Amino acid sequence: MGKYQLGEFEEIVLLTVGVLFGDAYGVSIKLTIEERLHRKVSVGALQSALKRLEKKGYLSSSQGASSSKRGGRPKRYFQLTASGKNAIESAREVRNQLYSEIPKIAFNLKSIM
Amino acid sequence: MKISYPPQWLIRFFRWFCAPELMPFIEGDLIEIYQQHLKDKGRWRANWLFLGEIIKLLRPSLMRSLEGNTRLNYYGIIKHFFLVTVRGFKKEKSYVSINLLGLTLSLCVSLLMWHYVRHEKSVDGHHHNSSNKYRINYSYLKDGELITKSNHATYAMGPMVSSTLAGFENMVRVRPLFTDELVAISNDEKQFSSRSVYYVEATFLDFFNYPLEKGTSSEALSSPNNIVLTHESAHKFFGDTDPMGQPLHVSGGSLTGDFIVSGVLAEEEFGTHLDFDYLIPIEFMLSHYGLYVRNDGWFWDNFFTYVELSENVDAGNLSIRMDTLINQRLADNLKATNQTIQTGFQPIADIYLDPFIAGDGGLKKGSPTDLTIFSIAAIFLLIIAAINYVNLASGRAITKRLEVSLKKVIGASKRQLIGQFVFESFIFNVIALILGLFLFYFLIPSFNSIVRIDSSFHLIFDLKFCGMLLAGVGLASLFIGFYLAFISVKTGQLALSKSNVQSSGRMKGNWLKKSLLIFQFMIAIMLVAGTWLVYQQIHFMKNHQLGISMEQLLIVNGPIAVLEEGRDVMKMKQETLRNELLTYPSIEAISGTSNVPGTGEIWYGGVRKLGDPREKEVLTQAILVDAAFTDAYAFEFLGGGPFHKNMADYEAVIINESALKAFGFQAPQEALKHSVVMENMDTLKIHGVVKDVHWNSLQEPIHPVIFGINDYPRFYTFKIATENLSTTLETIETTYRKLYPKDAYHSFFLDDDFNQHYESEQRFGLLFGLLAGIAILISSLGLFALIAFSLSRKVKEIGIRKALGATASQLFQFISKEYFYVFMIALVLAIPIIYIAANRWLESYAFSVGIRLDLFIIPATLVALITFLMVTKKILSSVHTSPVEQLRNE
Repeated sequence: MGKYQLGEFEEIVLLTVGVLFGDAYGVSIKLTIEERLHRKVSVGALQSALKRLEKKGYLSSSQGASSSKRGGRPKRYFQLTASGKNAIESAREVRNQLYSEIPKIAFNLKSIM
Repeated sequence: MKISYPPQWLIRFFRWFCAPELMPFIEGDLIEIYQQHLKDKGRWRANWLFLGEIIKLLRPSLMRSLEGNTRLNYYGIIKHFFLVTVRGFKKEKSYVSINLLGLTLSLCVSLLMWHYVRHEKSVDGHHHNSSNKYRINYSYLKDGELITKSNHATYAMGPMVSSTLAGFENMVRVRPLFTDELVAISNDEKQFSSRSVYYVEATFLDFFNYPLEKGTSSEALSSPNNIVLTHESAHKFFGDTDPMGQPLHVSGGSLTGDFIVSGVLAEEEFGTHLDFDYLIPIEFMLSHYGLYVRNDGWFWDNFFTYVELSENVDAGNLSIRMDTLINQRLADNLKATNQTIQTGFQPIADIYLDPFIAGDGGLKKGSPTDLTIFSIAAIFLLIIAAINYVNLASGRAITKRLEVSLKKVIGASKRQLIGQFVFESFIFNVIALILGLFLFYFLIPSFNSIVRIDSSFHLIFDLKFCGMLLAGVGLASLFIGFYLAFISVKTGQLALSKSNVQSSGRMKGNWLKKSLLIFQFMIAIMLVAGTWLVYQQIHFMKNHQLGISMEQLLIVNGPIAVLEEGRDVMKMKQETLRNELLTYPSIEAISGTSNVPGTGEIWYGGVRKLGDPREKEVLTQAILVDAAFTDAYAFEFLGGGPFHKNMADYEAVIINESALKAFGFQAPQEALKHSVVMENMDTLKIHGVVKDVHWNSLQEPIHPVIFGINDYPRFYTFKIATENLSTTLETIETTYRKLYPKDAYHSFFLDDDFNQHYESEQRFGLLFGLLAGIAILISSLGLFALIAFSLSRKVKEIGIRKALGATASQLFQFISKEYFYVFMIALVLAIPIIYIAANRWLESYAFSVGIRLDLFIIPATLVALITFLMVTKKILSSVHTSPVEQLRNE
């Protein structure tokens, strides 16, 4: 980390946008997160995060078509930017590094006092 | 695919708070999710979840910014509003000037009325701590029933209660001289007679806020020969020289004395109920007028007693304790007449507007009914002007629909459209307000002199009022603007441009306009009726048979200074006057009396038939006259006859009809055998009975009166022939001055003076008439413009009718029909109101003209006539244009 300040939820959102390549918009992101992580995501929280991420430069958005299913409202699609890709990668690197440095003994829970 | 929407109100709420750039997308998401939930969980659950989502969307990062999203160039739009308004004004100058005139006039008049009302209500409010200062009034009760109310108390009451009971901070007594007259003679022999002299205690100038121009309040009334002048009297007596220390001789029977001027009051700035020309310390009167000291000062009650109570004193409780004390002290006296005294505290600020009660002589009083009437009338006037404005402006607003629809096509928002109307009405009202204020300021001096306001009170100083005025104007223009916008902006664009404009010309469906017009007519009719009633009452009072003839009677004020030469000299001079002047054939009779009609009586108190117990005393007025009295005034005798020339003073009395009945006599002949007793003091034989006459103005009922004999005249009455009037007047004056060189000569004709009583009514009538006149002016202006407008709408219709062969009178009937109906409705509604109000007002007069049919007919006819003229004039011009012209308008 360091250059890329990324909250836990924000990281999830970025990853999901990556997964949903080409089809990442509000509802789809929400449903995907809810499905995969088994947790409820409110539209407000998600929108807030998306706005923040876009402001930080990790995401870019574009307007999609409107459909009657949405009451005539258009969709807003998100994509990862290069900066966003770097952010995810750096986060992943840090985690991996930390994880690999945990001694085996920390997992031997029965023998710890 | 059919979708169902989530609850609209939540959506609307969301649209309101959400930032616009995010809004469509988030809304789309919400709707999509909603569909899913609907399918899975049903409506209830879906709605509930939706609500949850909305609430969780209330995040600062998602809300719209407070400055507004599109930075509107307000400068541009206001400039546009201004331009359109100004152009509109320039284009329709007549509309603007009529409307502006109406608004300005009514604003100005309302301001004048309000100024008057506020002044009257603020009288005596300027004294320090006035909320804790009161006057003690007496009520006399017999068996629990109120017999008389009096604002006088005895000399000793004040000190007794204030020293015995707790709660009094200050007490001051005032004895106004209201029946006698004094002559003040300055060093250079200039004479000024006055009836407004007050004898006051030394603390008077501290208790009441009368700032001194010269002298100090602690010193000015400290010794018995001090005299304090008002600003005006000082100027009258001494011109520009400094009056301080100057001697002033005051002549007036037992009140004669020499004084030194010890103070001059500053010019009056605020209104007050105390009316005096100069002040003399009360010690002087007490040492010269023995009666007040009798019975330790509990004998004569002619003193106003003012007190200042401490904070948080229970006035009611205090009053009860005072009653006990007083009734105890006067127990013997009261037992004889079987009466009890009840005291009351009257706040000094209330005295001015309190209805007239016996003993108010020497005070300035205002009339609260007048004030209410003026306030209501002023409000009415404003309402008429506002109605006018709305009617005229709404007529015009219809033509503005074209402009509105154009703007809509370009893309103006509703707010901007409404803004135009509000702005215009605001500008209009502000201009009217400014003009009205100018006019008001300009008219204040003349208005002040009409209504006798001599203080420098000014409405502008009343900040609360100014605030209310501005707020009122602002609100009114807002409302009106909104209303106008409402009727012009609502319907769809295309329909507005052409044909619909025509259809709203007829008034049939437009109930609002109609009811406003009805209201206007009503007010106009009522105001005219009111004016008519006032003038009728005045006319009645002036011309009503008074029972005595007041023509050809010249009144001269009786000599006062001559008393100093001794009674014998005075009597001798009287004889001389009489003998000399009676030789002239043009002088038919001379009588010396204590009062003349219109000046009240010299004494009033309890009188009873000799033999009756004191309980049967009747409140009677007494007037002292001489033998020639009944001749000079041509009284009609019901029994007995006039006094003989040689009868002694106080030997006998003549009573009037009301007294006859009050004392319980069945017939005049019976009375002649009896005597009367005045307040347990003097017994007098009844020498004659005369028919009732209106001795005082018709505002008062006829009291029981006894006429006693006394040869000291406060007034001389001369019955003179009408020929050679000026010579006769000259003769009288020369003879008088010869015999009484030290006295001022002041004469007047009785009928002139008597009519002065109606001065306040006349003033009232004048003001009321002014109101009515303006109301009619404004209403007719409005009506005129309204008719003009509605006719211009109907041009096509009239053209067609003419082409089909309608005659002028048929057209006239058709057009004027609706105005006629409106007028009739207004008349029917106005009649009961007029009836009730007239009754109420006339109740305050003991003798009134009564409500007659012409009270309704005259105003109705007048208003109808004016309306008729308006309608005709406008119609004639329209009717005479060729139908070709009218139909060409397509």
